[in-house]
Amino acid sequence: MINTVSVNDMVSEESAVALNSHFDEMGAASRPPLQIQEIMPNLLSSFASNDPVFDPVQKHDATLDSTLG
Amino acid sequence: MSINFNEISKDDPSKDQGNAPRRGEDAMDKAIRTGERTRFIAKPNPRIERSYEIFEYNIKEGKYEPAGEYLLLNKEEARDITDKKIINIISMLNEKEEYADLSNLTKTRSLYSVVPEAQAGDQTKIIFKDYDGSGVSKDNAVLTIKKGVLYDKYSQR
Repeated sequence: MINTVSVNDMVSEESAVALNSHFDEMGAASRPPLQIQEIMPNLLSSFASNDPVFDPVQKHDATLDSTLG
Repeated sequence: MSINFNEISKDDPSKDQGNAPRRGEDAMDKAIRTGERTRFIAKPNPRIERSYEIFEYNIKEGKYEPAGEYLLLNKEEARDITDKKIINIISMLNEKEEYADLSNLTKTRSLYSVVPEAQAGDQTKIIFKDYDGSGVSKDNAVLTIKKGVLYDKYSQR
């Protein structure tokens, strides 16, 4: 069972309105899902060694790897 | 008070100092203390070693709710590397493109595979793997996130 931590008491009515407004402005509520194949190369590049044996282009193999299930 | 999802509040520059994490403070504690709400945060799971719980802020309910987890499989990975990886994953989920650079800390390539929907159920499950240039890659960690946050364009095949 994962705990849920309420922060209700930390958000005043005024700030909640501002929060909702900002949230709507960001379009986050209706944000389409992030496409895994697009975000992974950059994410994995940040994980990876800068060892020259690992050609950065090859990191796109990750996409191929994902197709193997 | 204004609350930003993806950046530190700029209403009061002096607040920025207060937004720096304090010793022993996790993302949830920081969110409560500063009033800053990012859509996704993570905190160590006290019940599972080297595991993080991922929470998403529910606007209507005004609280963070469980949205997934990051389970480290390679228990030999240095903690600072794991910490930076989870920071990068949360940055990715929050659509920030500023990633912590781990390139001087690792000696591997990172790969991933997406667990087929039929096996992952109502979640999206991604297995991260390390490849050191020889043999086969080794499982590093499993990221599980509720369905709808990420989209696998190959999942409909």
